[in-house]
Amino acid sequence: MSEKLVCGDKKHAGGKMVRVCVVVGEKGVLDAFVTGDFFVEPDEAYEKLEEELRRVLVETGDPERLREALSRVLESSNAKLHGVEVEDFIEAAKRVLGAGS
Amino acid sequence: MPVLHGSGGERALRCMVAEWPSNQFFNLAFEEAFYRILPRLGWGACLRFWRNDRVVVIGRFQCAALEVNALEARRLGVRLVRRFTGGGAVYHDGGNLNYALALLRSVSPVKDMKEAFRFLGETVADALGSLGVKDATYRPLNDIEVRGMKISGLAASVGREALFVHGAMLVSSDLGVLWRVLKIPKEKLVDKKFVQSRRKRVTTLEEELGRSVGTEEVMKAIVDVVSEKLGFKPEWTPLTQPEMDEARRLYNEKYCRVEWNLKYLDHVRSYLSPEELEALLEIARPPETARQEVGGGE
Repeated sequence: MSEKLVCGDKKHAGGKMVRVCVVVGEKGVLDAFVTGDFFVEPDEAYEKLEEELRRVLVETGDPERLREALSRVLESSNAKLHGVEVEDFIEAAKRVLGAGS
Repeated sequence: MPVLHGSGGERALRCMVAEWPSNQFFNLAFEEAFYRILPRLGWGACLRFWRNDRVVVIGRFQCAALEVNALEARRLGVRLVRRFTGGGAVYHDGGNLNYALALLRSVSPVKDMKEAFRFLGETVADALGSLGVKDATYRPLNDIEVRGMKISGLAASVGREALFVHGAMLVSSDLGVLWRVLKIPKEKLVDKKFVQSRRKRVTTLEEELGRSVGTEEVMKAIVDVVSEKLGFKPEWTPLTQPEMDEARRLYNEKYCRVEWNLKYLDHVRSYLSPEELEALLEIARPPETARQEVGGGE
């Protein structure tokens, strides 16, 4: 079995941290989840953010696609992130998928 | 929804000590319960104080295996429980005083999560000042510091009818245990201030005042400032039956279960050593003796 769990962290300057973890196999990203010490208002929007992050990374493996997808979830849920921004999710995903700065 | 209790009305600050230190899981269940039930009780605001025996309390969106050194925690008798609010992992022991404020939105001057953090952060900083701590300040988003050292952290949740914000105050905690059981992310290790002296990043109330401090005087200081800022009269009351019923439900369905406390475990299970997995499963559920004790009140 050549599946591997790898995580990428991004701490927002003066703020909180996002950690994107992915399970990578021969066919690319098999699974993904996001954890961290940030806040979401309301909390329930987090599940939607995570579901969308998983879908985008498994389907495309492209962290850049998270920008539009996660922003759409926040807008449709009338939700706000505190301590981090959508860009931190993208940067954490880039770090774990090898395209980070 | 019918109002069940509440003698002081919506302009009263209901205060209570409600704690089960030896069952950290029930303590966290009650934390969510009294906030959820507030709109049914008739008080405008409720302030709870409580203490815990040794436990790491992780944030709602954290993965326990990535945050906690489970083997060390088990060795030191430290439990693990997930709270319903976001934010980072904190360590509680008997030297820690926890406080939680739930506010009805209809009477609250605080409207969102950011304002809730600011309100309680400034309140607790003022309370520390009244106790004689010099230079206690609220530092956004969710810290209370004394000359750059953290003395208390906050977490919050916002619902349709009520707002909730809570914090843990280091009164005389064993900071050595804290650093042994929490895993420090690499990202934080690039923080120069962090590397220089991690123990110096936090302080306790007793260190600051140079004397032993009783929880009663800390509670009184916080109640005085909260009631003054809200303009609500404090009213100390025992916990109510609806709160206990809701806490027992949440405890049984959520907080005593590894499915809640070890969410994400299935993602990481195959990457853990058998010893670490066993330790996590042990610390993330209440011991049998604690389970039997639940049912008592203050």
